[in-house]
Amino acid sequence: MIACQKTMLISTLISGIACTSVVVAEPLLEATVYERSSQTLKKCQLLQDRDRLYLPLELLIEDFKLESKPLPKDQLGICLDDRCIPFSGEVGLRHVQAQNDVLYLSIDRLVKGMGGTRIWHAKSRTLLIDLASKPVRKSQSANQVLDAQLTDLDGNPVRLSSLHGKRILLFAWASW
Amino acid sequence: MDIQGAHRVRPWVEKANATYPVLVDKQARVAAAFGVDYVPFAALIDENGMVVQSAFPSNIADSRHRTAVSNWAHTGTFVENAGESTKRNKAGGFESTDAELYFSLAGQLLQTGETASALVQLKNALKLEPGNWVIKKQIWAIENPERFYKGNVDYKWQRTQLESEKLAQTINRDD
Repeated sequence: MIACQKTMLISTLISGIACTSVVVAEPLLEATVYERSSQTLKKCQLLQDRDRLYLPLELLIEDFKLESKPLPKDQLGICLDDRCIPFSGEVGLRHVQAQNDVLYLSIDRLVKGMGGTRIWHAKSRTLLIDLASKPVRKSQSANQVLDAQLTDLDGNPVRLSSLHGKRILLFAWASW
Repeated sequence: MDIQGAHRVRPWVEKANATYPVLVDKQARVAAAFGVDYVPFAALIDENGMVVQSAFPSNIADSRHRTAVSNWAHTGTFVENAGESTKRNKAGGFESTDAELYFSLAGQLLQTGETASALVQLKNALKLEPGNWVIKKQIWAIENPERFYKGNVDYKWQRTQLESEKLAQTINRDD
């Protein structure tokens, strides 16, 4: 029994699987992790397996604000709004690793599934992630812009969505 | 769009006696969402939150352009200005790029006062998109605040800077 007691979520996610799979100790890597949508910026330990990087599940839930949801066929998914990536089942578990009571999920699996992007800048050991990079096009919803976390000149958070019901001329400028 | 934050923006807003709401985009989300690499640009969003006109270069000195925007505000119909050049948005359209990701990390670092780290990330961004004016000017403004925030913006200095950077590039290529 390796990582089954940490939280309810973890034990459900890996029930019977990480517990039975062979876990090989991979080197942990101290890195800076940045995720754009959640404005997460923190140092944490990544798991590196060959050229693959894995992030601790706790970071995804606590900081990236992802949720675990049940999916069809008794699968469990890690979700951002309506986008879910299965991390259980035969396929999903290839992207999960467990070590020292911590579960790690493959960053590439997550990013590809969400339609986001990620960069590993090896020199500065920085992992940059954007889980929610949806395009904004003509005749489409401007939600990504409307929901963006902007601030007024006094630093108070403002979302353009508060102007719903009005026409918005968005003029983007800089003094330079 | 200055990711350094409100203190770099306020003097200009006060000087212009702006009556419209001014918001600061410290993580460059708006430019990234529209896939643009220049300022100024405008976009029109209707009362239902739909994009009527995605980002386009906005020249408010152009009276035809002003009329088109003002008509839209009153009637909800936007007639594109045929005379105005439609500047390209980035190749591939509107996908978030790696450069934008480095750029937004720089914004986050500036908020916590890590200016040196922010500059490193801005330069990573510029390496990927050397033609991106927003990134280039943001670097200049952080490194040379006296040319940007003391009275008028020193455009003459910018031209000289651009020339010397081009020259440096040529020399590096020859090496």
